[in-house]
Amino acid sequence: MINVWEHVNAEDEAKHFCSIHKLVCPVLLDEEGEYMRRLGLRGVPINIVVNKKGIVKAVGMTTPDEVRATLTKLLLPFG
Amino acid sequence: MSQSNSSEPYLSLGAIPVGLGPEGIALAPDLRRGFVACARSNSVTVFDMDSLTVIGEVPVGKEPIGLVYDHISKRVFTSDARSDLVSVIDATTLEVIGQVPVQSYPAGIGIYSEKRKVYCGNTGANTVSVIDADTLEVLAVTEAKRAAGSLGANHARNEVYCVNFGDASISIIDGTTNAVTGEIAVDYAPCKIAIDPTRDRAYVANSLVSTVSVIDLNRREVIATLPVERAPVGMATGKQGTHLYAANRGTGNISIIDQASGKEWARVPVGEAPGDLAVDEETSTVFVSNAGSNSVSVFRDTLTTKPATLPKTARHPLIGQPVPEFALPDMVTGKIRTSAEWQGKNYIINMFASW
Repeated sequence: MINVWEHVNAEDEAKHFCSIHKLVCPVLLDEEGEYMRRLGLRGVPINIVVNKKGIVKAVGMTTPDEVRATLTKLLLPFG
Repeated sequence: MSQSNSSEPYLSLGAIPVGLGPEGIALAPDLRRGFVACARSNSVTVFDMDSLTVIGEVPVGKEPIGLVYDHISKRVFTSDARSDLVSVIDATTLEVIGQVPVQSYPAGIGIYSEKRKVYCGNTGANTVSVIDADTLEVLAVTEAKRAAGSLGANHARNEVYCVNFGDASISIIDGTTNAVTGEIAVDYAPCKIAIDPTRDRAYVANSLVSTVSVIDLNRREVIATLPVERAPVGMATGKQGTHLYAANRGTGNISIIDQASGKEWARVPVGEAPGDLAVDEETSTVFVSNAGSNSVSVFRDTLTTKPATLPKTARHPLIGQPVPEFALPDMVTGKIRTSAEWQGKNYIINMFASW
């Protein structure tokens, strides 16, 4: 996961969010959204699916159900 | 912000740089001033609605999120989530004239000027504090549902509606007794309500499922569910209720929806991660707070009839391309981690903000 646009205290804000939602995956910090701008993305939440060759296969999705449906369609494993 | 031309259904008027993490926005058309709660600056930025320039910055409590304007007392009220306070600003002098203690994590606020009441949605306590807009006394604390937040008042029905983010519902509060008189189920993770008393309808932006619920207020039920772009968190009506605006936090644009047909007529690109919006009915000008880009986007809705082409979601240009490399600090260790670490694996990057 990449935490973006916190503007202030990104580390603390992201940790607080992850503890509330019990998230355990790696979290990186993009405090001012510089990587988002390079991706041409203008909103959150958003997901990017990348395959073994490093190619972007899907962009978007808000809920876990949408992510699951997208991965099924792409024949990629979920979880 | 994209440049406009005459063939577009809107006229871009630019963007106003404001404080950090702008959320709740309201206009005072009588003073030609706009106010936006900047959650990460703990302040309210005040701007001129015509020159689109900043005219002041007012410090309030910690993490102001909700913001409303009372045209009778000419006061601005903010809900300061991390201070458990409602701050009160004189909209003319820009001085804080009071702070009202409320309950846990007040993330939403509503105004019922005719009844002289301000409603504060205490998200952490699942309650609504009812405040006298003149004396600033807390009149009542009403039980709502899980993660009660944003509120809207309807003078025609003497009702106030509280949006319960965690319960996928709206609580209906009697404007006189402050008691809950009913509930309406909506979609998952509702964020904001807009009311059209003329048509006796309300519209609710359901953030995580990317829909707008259309509510018949007489029947107290959802009569239609409209798809919009991803993650709508802001909602307002304009053009005397004929247009609805949804602020899509997930895609950085505003959906303009034709009320009569329920169809999305246009999408207006704004700044990053837009949240709330406010409309100047006199000029059909829409002001949008962008929590990502610390700005307020301003555009004029010039649509009067159905446009020749309706918006479509295009395939994202990143699809099929190599993922741009990243090198970012790890939240826990602070060490830089790069995309090389995930090379040779199928993986998903989830981009999120805590707000």
